[in-house]
Amino acid sequence: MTDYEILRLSEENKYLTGGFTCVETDSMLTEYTSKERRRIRRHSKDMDNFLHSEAFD
Amino acid sequence: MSRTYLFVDEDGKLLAYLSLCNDAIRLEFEERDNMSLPYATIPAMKVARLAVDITKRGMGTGYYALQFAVYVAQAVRDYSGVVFLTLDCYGHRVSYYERFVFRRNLYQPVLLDYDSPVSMRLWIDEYLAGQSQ
Repeated sequence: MTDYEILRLSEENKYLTGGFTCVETDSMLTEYTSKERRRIRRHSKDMDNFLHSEAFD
Repeated sequence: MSRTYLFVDEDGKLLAYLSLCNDAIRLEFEERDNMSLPYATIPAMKVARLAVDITKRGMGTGYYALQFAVYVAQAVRDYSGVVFLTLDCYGHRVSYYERFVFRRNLYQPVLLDYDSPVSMRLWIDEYLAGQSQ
């Protein structure tokens, strides 16, 4: 079990978000059709964008 | 609009993030009747965003983040009514949330696309009762 620290996103810890991505690789989506893969990746990119540009607003 | 929480491991790596906001959901009559809730619209807390880094999936981080959301909802309940934890998710994630005892809402927003998100809810009292058994 990994030990976690939970931090409220703030100016002081915003640097932690830099390397984060939840966009799946091809090998993680082999069970889905190409159309489904596109939709899943589009949503995951939106999740990344939110963290990097909107969450702090 | 929301508050975002970072889940960071002991090496300072961001494993996941969770964003929470306030919400209210509409229940169909049969749902209200089953839960003895007298109102059509019920206050809730919404998991607006939950994402786990692709290098850290399968380690239980998402489950841990949802437990934290329940914890926050419990804390808010000391000051303001919250009955459900809610979220919207795409079809490929429904089974994941169902394992956490989220259920599909009978009332779904008007869907314009075939792949519109599914509205789900977790009844906090039911979840906590299950945890204590």
